[in-house]
Amino acid sequence: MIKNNFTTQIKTIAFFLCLILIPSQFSSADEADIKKFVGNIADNIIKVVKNQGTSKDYKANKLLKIIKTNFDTPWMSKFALGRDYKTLSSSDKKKYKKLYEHYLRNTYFPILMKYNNESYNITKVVKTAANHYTVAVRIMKPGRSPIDMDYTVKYQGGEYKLLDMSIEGVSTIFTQRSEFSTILKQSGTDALFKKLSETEIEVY
Amino acid sequence: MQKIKLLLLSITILVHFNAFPESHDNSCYSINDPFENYNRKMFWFNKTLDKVFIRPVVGIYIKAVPQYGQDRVHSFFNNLRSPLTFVNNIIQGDGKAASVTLGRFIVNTFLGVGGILDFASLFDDMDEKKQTFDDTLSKYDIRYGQYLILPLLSPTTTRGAFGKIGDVALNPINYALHSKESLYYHLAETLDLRIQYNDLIKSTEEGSVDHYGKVRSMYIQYISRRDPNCPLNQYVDYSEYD
Repeated sequence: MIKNNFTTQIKTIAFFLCLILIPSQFSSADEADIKKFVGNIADNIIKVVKNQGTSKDYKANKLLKIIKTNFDTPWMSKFALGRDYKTLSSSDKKKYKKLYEHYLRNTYFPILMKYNNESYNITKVVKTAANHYTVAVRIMKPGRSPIDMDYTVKYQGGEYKLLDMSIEGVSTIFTQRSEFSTILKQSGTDALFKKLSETEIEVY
Repeated sequence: MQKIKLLLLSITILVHFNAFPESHDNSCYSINDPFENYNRKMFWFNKTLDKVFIRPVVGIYIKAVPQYGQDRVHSFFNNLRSPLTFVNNIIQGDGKAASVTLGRFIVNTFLGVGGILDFASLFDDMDEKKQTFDDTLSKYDIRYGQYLILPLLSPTTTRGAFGKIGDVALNPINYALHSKESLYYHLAETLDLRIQYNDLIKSTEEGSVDHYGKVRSMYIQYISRRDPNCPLNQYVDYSEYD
Protein backbone atom coordinates (compact mmCIF):
# COMPACT_ATOMS: atom_id res chain seq x y z
CA MET A 1 0.00 0.00 0.00
CA ILE A 2 2.79 2.33 1.04
CA LYS A 3 4.78 1.31 -2.04
CA ASN A 4 1.76 1.95 -4.28
CA ASN A 5 1.31 5.42 -2.76
CA PHE A 6 4.99 6.15 -3.23
CA THR A 7 4.87 5.06 -6.90
CA THR A 8 1.78 7.19 -7.49
CA GLN A 9 3.53 10.18 -5.90
CA ILE A 10 6.61 9.68 -8.06
CA LYS A 11 4.42 9.40 -11.16
CA THR A 12 2.54 12.57 -10.18
CA ILE A 13 5.78 14.48 -9.60
CA ALA A 14 7.19 13.18 -12.90
CA PHE A 15 4.00 14.21 -14.70
CA PHE A 16 4.12 17.76 -13.34
CA LEU A 17 7.84 17.99 -14.03
CA CYS A 18 7.10 17.08 -17.64
CA LEU A 19 4.41 19.75 -17.79
CA ILE A 20 6.90 22.32 -16.56
CA LEU A 21 9.80 21.18 -18.66
CA ILE A 22 8.14 20.44 -22.00
CA PRO A 23 6.96 23.97 -22.79
CA SER A 24 10.37 25.38 -21.91
CA GLN A 25 12.17 22.94 -24.17
CA PHE A 26 13.27 24.93 -27.18
CA SER A 27 15.58 22.93 -29.33
CA SER A 28 18.03 24.33 -31.83
CA ALA A 29 15.99 22.49 -34.49
CA ASP A 30 12.97 24.67 -33.57
CA GLU A 31 15.14 27.76 -33.70
CA ALA A 32 16.52 26.78 -37.10
CA ASP A 33 12.97 26.16 -38.42
CA ILE A 34 11.72 29.51 -37.16
CA LYS A 35 14.71 31.34 -38.61
CA LYS A 36 14.12 29.55 -41.91
CA PHE A 37 10.42 30.51 -41.84
CA VAL A 38 11.15 34.21 -41.25
CA GLY A 39 14.11 34.20 -43.66
CA ASN A 40 11.92 32.69 -46.40
CA ILE A 41 9.27 35.39 -45.99
CA ALA A 42 11.93 38.13 -46.18
CA ASP A 43 13.61 36.52 -49.22
CA ASN A 44 10.31 36.02 -51.04
CA ILE A 45 9.28 39.62 -50.44
CA ILE A 46 12.68 40.91 -51.64
CA LYS A 47 12.36 38.73 -54.74
CA VAL A 48 8.96 40.25 -55.56
CA VAL A 49 10.06 43.84 -54.87
CA LYS A 50 13.31 43.55 -56.85
CA ASN A 51 11.67 41.88 -59.82
CA GLN A 52 12.14 44.56 -62.48
CA GLY A 53 9.73 44.69 -65.38
CA THR A 54 6.65 43.61 -63.47
CA SER A 55 3.76 45.98 -62.86
CA LYS A 56 2.83 47.36 -59.46
CA ASP A 57 -0.48 45.42 -59.58
CA TYR A 58 1.40 42.19 -60.23
CA LYS A 59 3.76 42.87 -57.35
CA ALA A 60 0.89 43.84 -55.04
CA ASN A 61 -0.96 40.61 -55.82
CA LYS A 62 2.18 38.52 -55.30
CA LEU A 63 2.61 40.25 -51.95
CA LEU A 64 -0.99 39.42 -51.04
CA LYS A 65 -0.23 35.76 -51.81
CA ILE A 66 2.79 35.85 -49.47
CA ILE A 67 0.66 37.47 -46.76
CA LYS A 68 -2.15 34.91 -47.11
CA THR A 69 0.29 31.99 -46.99
CA ASN A 70 2.48 33.13 -44.11
CA PHE A 71 0.45 35.51 -41.95
CA ASP A 72 -2.32 34.37 -39.61
CA THR A 73 -4.73 36.85 -41.17
CA PRO A 74 -7.90 35.42 -39.51
CA TRP A 75 -6.33 35.96 -36.07
CA MET A 76 -4.84 39.34 -37.01
CA SER A 77 -8.17 40.59 -38.34
CA LYS A 78 -9.92 39.57 -35.10
CA PHE A 79 -7.25 41.23 -32.97
CA ALA A 80 -7.36 44.45 -35.00
CA LEU A 81 -11.12 44.78 -34.49
CA GLY A 82 -11.04 43.77 -30.82
CA ARG A 83 -14.31 43.15 -28.99
CA ASP A 84 -16.34 44.53 -31.88
CA TYR A 85 -15.51 41.46 -33.96
CA LYS A 86 -18.01 39.37 -32.00
CA THR A 87 -20.83 41.78 -32.80
CA LEU A 88 -20.44 41.31 -36.58
CA SER A 89 -22.85 39.12 -38.53
CA SER A 90 -21.30 36.12 -40.31
CA SER A 91 -21.59 37.83 -43.71
CA ASP A 92 -19.92 40.96 -42.29
CA LYS A 93 -17.15 38.79 -40.83
CA LYS A 94 -16.45 37.36 -44.29
CA LYS A 95 -16.54 40.80 -45.87
CA TYR A 96 -14.28 42.21 -43.17
CA LYS A 97 -11.72 39.41 -43.52
CA LYS A 98 -11.36 40.10 -47.23
CA LEU A 99 -11.14 43.85 -46.68
CA TYR A 100 -8.57 43.33 -43.96
CA GLU A 101 -6.30 41.23 -46.19
CA HIS A 102 -6.37 43.93 -48.85
CA TYR A 103 -5.77 46.56 -46.21
CA LEU A 104 -2.70 44.62 -45.01
CA ARG A 105 -1.37 44.42 -48.52
CA ASN A 106 -2.03 48.13 -49.08
CA THR A 107 -0.29 49.04 -45.83
CA TYR A 108 2.79 46.93 -46.44
CA PHE A 109 3.10 47.45 -50.19
CA PRO A 110 4.32 51.08 -50.19
CA ILE A 111 6.73 50.35 -47.31
CA LEU A 112 8.21 47.29 -48.99
CA MET A 113 8.51 49.07 -52.33
CA LYS A 114 11.01 51.41 -50.65
CA TYR A 115 13.37 48.47 -50.20
CA ASN A 116 16.81 49.64 -51.28
CA ASN A 117 19.29 46.77 -50.97
CA GLU A 118 19.25 46.67 -47.18
CA SER A 119 20.56 43.44 -45.69
CA TYR A 120 19.04 41.63 -42.74
CA ASN A 121 20.34 39.51 -39.93
CA ILE A 122 18.21 37.29 -37.68
CA THR A 123 19.80 37.97 -34.32
CA LYS A 124 17.69 36.13 -31.76
CA VAL A 125 14.76 33.76 -31.32
CA VAL A 126 12.98 33.86 -27.98
CA LYS A 127 10.19 31.54 -26.88
CA THR A 128 7.62 33.81 -25.25
CA ALA A 129 4.80 31.30 -24.61
CA ALA A 130 4.02 27.63 -25.25
CA ASN A 131 3.68 28.17 -29.01
CA HIS A 132 4.75 31.79 -29.48
CA TYR A 133 8.17 33.07 -30.48
CA THR A 134 9.71 36.47 -30.98
CA VAL A 135 12.29 36.67 -33.74
CA ALA A 136 14.62 39.68 -33.59
CA VAL A 137 15.79 40.92 -36.96
CA ARG A 138 18.27 43.71 -37.61
CA ILE A 139 17.98 45.59 -40.90
CA MET A 140 21.27 47.11 -41.98
CA LYS A 141 22.38 49.61 -44.56
CA PRO A 142 25.94 50.92 -44.72
CA GLY A 143 26.28 54.40 -43.23
CA ARG A 144 22.86 54.27 -41.56
CA SER A 145 21.75 53.33 -38.05
CA PRO A 146 20.41 49.76 -38.05
CA ILE A 147 16.66 49.22 -37.66
CA ASP A 148 15.49 46.59 -35.16
CA MET A 149 12.40 44.57 -35.93
CA ASP A 150 10.60 41.87 -33.96
CA TYR A 151 8.51 39.23 -35.69
CA THR A 152 5.97 37.39 -33.55
CA VAL A 153 5.52 33.84 -34.79
CA LYS A 154 3.00 31.21 -33.72
CA TYR A 155 3.35 27.46 -34.17
CA GLN A 156 0.00 25.78 -34.64
CA GLY A 157 -1.29 22.79 -36.56
CA GLY A 158 2.19 21.79 -37.65
CA GLU A 159 3.07 25.11 -39.26
CA TYR A 160 4.42 28.54 -38.40
CA LYS A 161 2.37 31.67 -38.94
CA LEU A 162 3.31 35.31 -38.53
CA LEU A 163 1.17 37.30 -36.08
CA ASP A 164 2.85 40.67 -35.91
CA MET A 165 5.82 42.77 -36.96
CA SER A 166 7.17 45.45 -34.65
CA ILE A 167 9.52 48.10 -35.93
CA GLU A 168 11.60 49.73 -33.19
CA GLY A 169 9.00 48.56 -30.68
CA VAL A 170 5.96 49.78 -32.63
CA SER A 171 3.58 46.88 -33.15
CA THR A 172 1.67 46.74 -36.44
CA ILE A 173 -1.46 45.04 -35.12
CA PHE A 174 -1.61 47.16 -31.97
CA THR A 175 -1.47 50.26 -34.19
CA GLN A 176 -4.22 48.81 -36.39
CA ARG A 177 -6.46 48.13 -33.40
CA SER A 178 -5.96 51.67 -32.18
CA GLU A 179 -6.62 53.10 -35.64
CA PHE A 180 -9.77 51.02 -36.18
CA SER A 181 -11.18 51.62 -32.71
CA THR A 182 -11.35 55.41 -33.21
CA ILE A 183 -13.41 54.99 -36.38
CA LEU A 184 -15.60 52.33 -34.78
CA LYS A 185 -16.29 54.56 -31.77
CA GLN A 186 -16.96 57.68 -33.80
CA SER A 187 -18.70 56.35 -36.90
CA GLY A 188 -19.41 52.60 -36.60
CA THR A 189 -18.66 49.44 -38.56
CA ASP A 190 -19.98 50.61 -41.95
CA ALA A 191 -17.68 53.63 -41.86
CA LEU A 192 -14.69 51.41 -41.06
CA PHE A 193 -15.55 49.05 -43.94
CA LYS A 194 -15.87 52.04 -46.25
CA LYS A 195 -12.47 53.36 -45.16
CA LEU A 196 -10.88 49.92 -45.63
CA SER A 197 -12.34 49.61 -49.11
CA GLU A 198 -11.15 53.13 -49.96
CA THR A 199 -7.56 52.20 -49.20
CA GLU A 200 -8.03 49.35 -51.67
CA ILE A 201 -8.75 51.85 -54.44
CA GLU A 202 -5.52 53.78 -53.71
CA VAL A 203 -3.29 50.87 -54.66
CA TYR A 204 -5.04 49.83 -57.88
CA MET B 1 20.69 81.92 -16.72
CA GLN B 2 17.23 82.67 -18.09
CA LYS B 3 17.17 79.24 -19.75
CA ILE B 4 17.99 77.55 -16.45
CA LYS B 5 15.26 79.55 -14.66
CA LEU B 6 12.80 78.49 -17.36
CA LEU B 7 13.86 74.87 -16.90
CA LEU B 8 13.42 75.01 -13.12
CA LEU B 9 9.99 76.62 -13.53
CA SER B 10 9.04 73.89 -16.04
CA ILE B 11 10.13 71.11 -13.70
CA THR B 12 8.14 72.68 -10.85
CA ILE B 13 5.01 72.86 -13.01
CA LEU B 14 5.59 69.34 -14.31
CA VAL B 15 6.04 67.84 -10.86
CA HIS B 16 2.91 69.67 -9.76
CA PHE B 17 1.00 68.23 -12.73
CA ASN B 18 2.34 64.81 -12.02
CA ALA B 19 -0.52 64.77 -9.99
CA PHE B 20 -0.90 64.13 -13.76
CA PRO B 21 -3.89 61.96 -14.26
CA GLU B 22 -2.12 58.82 -15.43
CA SER B 23 -3.25 57.01 -18.55
CA HIS B 24 -6.80 55.74 -18.35
CA ASP B 25 -6.02 52.27 -17.06
CA ASN B 26 -2.63 53.08 -15.53
CA SER B 27 -0.95 51.25 -18.36
CA CYS B 28 2.06 52.74 -20.15
CA TYR B 29 0.79 52.01 -23.61
CA SER B 30 -2.80 53.17 -23.27
CA ILE B 31 -3.74 56.33 -25.08
CA ASN B 32 -4.61 59.41 -23.06
CA ASP B 33 -5.86 62.05 -25.46
CA PRO B 34 -8.29 64.42 -23.73
CA PHE B 35 -7.42 67.20 -26.21
CA GLU B 36 -8.34 65.07 -29.23
CA ASN B 37 -10.61 67.65 -30.88
CA TYR B 38 -7.92 70.34 -30.68
CA ASN B 39 -5.15 67.86 -31.53
CA ARG B 40 -6.90 66.64 -34.69
CA LYS B 41 -7.30 70.21 -35.95
CA MET B 42 -3.66 71.06 -35.18
CA PHE B 43 -2.51 67.78 -36.77
CA TRP B 44 -4.38 68.71 -39.95
CA PHE B 45 -2.92 72.25 -39.82
CA ASN B 46 0.66 70.96 -39.42
CA LYS B 47 0.13 68.36 -42.13
CA THR B 48 -1.11 71.01 -44.56
CA LEU B 49 1.82 73.31 -43.78
CA ASP B 50 4.19 70.40 -44.26
CA LYS B 51 2.61 69.49 -47.61
CA VAL B 52 2.70 73.05 -48.93
CA PHE B 53 6.06 74.32 -47.64
CA ILE B 54 8.31 71.59 -46.22
CA ARG B 55 7.65 68.60 -48.46
CA PRO B 56 8.64 70.36 -51.72
CA VAL B 57 11.93 71.52 -50.14
CA VAL B 58 12.62 68.02 -48.83
CA GLY B 59 11.77 66.57 -52.26
CA ILE B 60 14.24 68.87 -54.01
CA TYR B 61 16.97 68.11 -51.44
CA ILE B 62 16.50 64.35 -51.76
CA LYS B 63 16.66 64.55 -55.58
CA ALA B 64 19.60 66.95 -55.66
CA VAL B 65 21.86 65.47 -52.97
CA PRO B 66 23.09 61.87 -53.40
CA GLN B 67 22.37 59.45 -50.56
CA TYR B 68 26.01 59.50 -49.46
CA GLY B 69 25.93 63.28 -49.10
CA GLN B 70 22.64 63.11 -47.17
CA ASP B 71 24.14 60.56 -44.80
CA ARG B 72 27.17 62.78 -44.14
CA VAL B 73 24.97 65.79 -43.35
CA HIS B 74 22.86 63.64 -41.03
CA SER B 75 26.00 62.28 -39.37
CA PHE B 76 27.23 65.86 -38.79
CA PHE B 77 24.00 66.90 -37.03
CA ASN B 78 23.87 63.62 -35.13
CA ASN B 79 27.30 64.33 -33.71
CA LEU B 80 26.17 67.78 -32.59
CA ARG B 81 23.29 66.12 -30.71
CA SER B 82 25.81 64.24 -28.57
CA PRO B 83 26.45 67.06 -26.02
CA LEU B 84 22.71 67.14 -25.17
CA THR B 85 22.68 63.33 -24.85
CA PHE B 86 25.78 63.55 -22.62
CA VAL B 87 24.13 66.08 -20.26
CA ASN B 88 21.03 63.87 -20.03
CA ASN B 89 23.17 60.75 -19.40
CA ILE B 90 24.74 62.62 -16.46
CA ILE B 91 21.38 63.78 -15.03
CA GLN B 92 20.12 60.20 -15.35
CA GLY B 93 23.16 59.06 -13.36
CA ASP B 94 24.19 56.74 -16.19
CA GLY B 95 27.99 57.01 -16.15
CA LYS B 96 28.53 54.19 -18.64
CA ALA B 97 26.24 55.76 -21.24
CA ALA B 98 27.85 59.16 -20.60
CA SER B 99 31.32 57.76 -21.28
CA VAL B 100 30.10 56.10 -24.51
CA THR B 101 28.47 59.36 -25.66
CA LEU B 102 31.60 61.35 -24.83
CA GLY B 103 33.78 58.76 -26.56
CA ARG B 104 31.57 58.86 -29.66
CA PHE B 105 31.70 62.64 -29.72
CA ILE B 106 35.50 62.79 -29.43
CA VAL B 107 36.10 60.04 -32.00
CA ASN B 108 33.63 61.46 -34.53
CA THR B 109 34.69 65.08 -34.04
CA PHE B 110 38.39 64.44 -34.48
CA LEU B 111 38.67 61.29 -36.58
CA GLY B 112 35.34 61.82 -38.31
CA VAL B 113 36.14 65.37 -39.46
CA GLY B 114 33.68 67.25 -37.28
CA GLY B 115 31.21 64.38 -37.26
CA ILE B 116 30.79 64.09 -41.03
CA LEU B 117 31.97 60.49 -40.74
CA ASP B 118 30.61 58.19 -38.06
CA PHE B 119 33.83 56.37 -37.13
CA ALA B 120 32.57 55.51 -33.64
CA SER B 121 30.01 53.05 -35.07
CA LEU B 122 32.90 50.89 -36.23
CA PHE B 123 33.76 50.13 -32.60
CA ASP B 124 31.90 47.52 -30.56
CA ASP B 125 29.73 48.80 -27.72
CA MET B 126 29.70 52.33 -29.10
CA ASP B 127 26.14 52.26 -30.41
CA GLU B 128 24.43 55.58 -30.60
CA LYS B 129 21.65 56.02 -28.00
CA LYS B 130 20.23 59.50 -28.21
CA GLN B 131 18.72 60.89 -25.04
CA THR B 132 16.57 63.96 -24.56
CA PHE B 133 15.20 65.61 -21.45
CA ASP B 134 11.90 63.80 -22.14
CA ASP B 135 13.80 60.50 -21.72
CA THR B 136 15.30 61.82 -18.49
CA LEU B 137 11.87 62.71 -17.13
CA SER B 138 10.58 59.23 -18.05
CA LYS B 139 13.58 57.69 -16.31
CA TYR B 140 12.48 59.48 -13.13
CA ASP B 141 9.07 57.82 -13.51
CA ILE B 142 7.15 60.82 -14.78
CA ARG B 143 4.42 59.49 -17.03
CA TYR B 144 3.81 60.94 -20.47
CA GLY B 145 0.66 62.74 -19.36
CA GLN B 146 -1.50 63.65 -22.33
CA TYR B 147 -0.91 63.34 -26.06
CA LEU B 148 -0.33 66.75 -27.57
CA ILE B 149 0.07 68.31 -31.00
CA LEU B 150 1.75 71.72 -30.91
CA PRO B 151 1.87 74.11 -33.85
CA LEU B 152 4.76 73.46 -36.27
CA LEU B 153 6.17 70.65 -34.12
CA SER B 154 6.15 66.88 -34.34
CA PRO B 155 3.71 64.93 -32.10
CA THR B 156 4.52 65.07 -28.42
CA THR B 157 2.96 64.77 -24.97
CA THR B 158 2.61 67.17 -22.05
CA ARG B 159 5.79 65.64 -20.61
CA GLY B 160 7.47 65.92 -24.01
CA ALA B 161 6.56 69.62 -24.23
CA PHE B 162 8.37 70.26 -20.93
CA GLY B 163 11.15 68.02 -22.22
CA LYS B 164 11.60 70.34 -25.21
CA ILE B 165 12.02 73.31 -22.85
CA GLY B 166 14.59 71.24 -20.94
CA ASP B 167 16.44 70.45 -24.17
CA VAL B 168 16.74 74.16 -24.97
CA ALA B 169 18.01 74.93 -21.46
CA LEU B 170 20.43 72.00 -21.24
CA ASN B 171 21.87 71.88 -24.73
CA PRO B 172 25.51 73.11 -24.55
CA ILE B 173 25.26 74.14 -28.22
CA ASN B 174 22.82 76.90 -27.22
CA TYR B 175 25.44 78.38 -24.90
CA ALA B 176 28.23 78.09 -27.45
CA LEU B 177 26.31 79.94 -30.17
CA HIS B 178 24.73 83.38 -30.30
CA SER B 179 20.93 83.36 -30.29
CA LYS B 180 20.65 84.04 -34.03
CA GLU B 181 23.18 81.33 -34.92
CA SER B 182 21.46 78.99 -32.50
CA LEU B 183 18.13 79.58 -34.24
CA TYR B 184 19.64 78.81 -37.68
CA TYR B 185 21.32 75.72 -36.26
CA HIS B 186 18.04 74.39 -34.83
CA LEU B 187 16.17 75.12 -38.08
CA ALA B 188 18.80 73.18 -40.06
CA GLU B 189 18.81 70.36 -37.50
CA THR B 190 15.00 70.10 -37.61
CA LEU B 191 15.08 70.00 -41.40
CA ASP B 192 17.68 67.22 -41.24
CA LEU B 193 15.38 65.19 -38.96
CA ARG B 194 12.42 65.84 -41.25
CA ILE B 195 14.48 64.49 -44.18
CA GLN B 196 15.49 61.42 -42.17
CA TYR B 197 11.87 60.68 -41.31
CA ASN B 198 10.56 61.40 -44.79
CA ASP B 199 9.92 57.75 -45.70
CA LEU B 200 8.36 57.02 -42.32
CA ILE B 201 6.04 60.05 -42.60
CA LYS B 202 4.95 58.98 -46.09
CA SER B 203 4.42 55.36 -45.06
CA THR B 204 2.16 56.35 -42.15
CA GLU B 205 -0.12 58.10 -44.64
CA GLU B 206 -0.25 55.35 -47.21
CA GLY B 207 -2.89 52.71 -46.58
CA SER B 208 -4.06 54.46 -43.45
CA VAL B 209 -7.73 54.56 -42.44
CA ASP B 210 -7.22 57.21 -39.75
CA HIS B 211 -3.89 58.96 -40.14
CA TYR B 212 -4.18 60.89 -36.88
CA GLY B 213 -5.05 57.73 -34.90
CA LYS B 214 -2.23 55.78 -36.53
CA VAL B 215 0.46 58.39 -35.77
CA ARG B 216 -0.85 58.78 -32.20
CA SER B 217 -0.69 55.04 -31.53
CA MET B 218 2.77 54.72 -33.07
CA TYR B 219 4.09 57.66 -31.05
CA ILE B 220 2.73 56.42 -27.71
CA GLN B 221 4.18 52.95 -28.36
CA TYR B 222 7.52 54.50 -29.33
CA ILE B 223 7.90 56.65 -26.20
CA SER B 224 6.62 53.85 -23.95
CA ARG B 225 9.18 51.49 -25.43
CA ARG B 226 11.91 54.01 -24.56
CA ASP B 227 10.55 54.41 -21.03
CA PRO B 228 12.61 52.17 -18.70
CA ASN B 229 9.62 51.95 -16.33
CA CYS B 230 7.32 50.42 -18.94
CA PRO B 231 7.36 46.63 -19.38
CA LEU B 232 8.43 45.47 -22.81
CA ASN B 233 6.18 43.42 -25.05
CA GLN B 234 3.45 43.07 -22.47
CA TYR B 235 0.94 45.33 -24.10
CA VAL B 236 -0.03 43.00 -26.91
CA ASP B 237 -1.64 39.79 -25.71
CA TYR B 238 -0.88 37.37 -28.52
CA SER B 239 -2.89 34.62 -26.86
CA GLU B 240 -6.05 36.70 -27.26
CA TYR B 241 -8.48 35.00 -29.71
CA ASP B 242 -6.33 31.84 -29.77
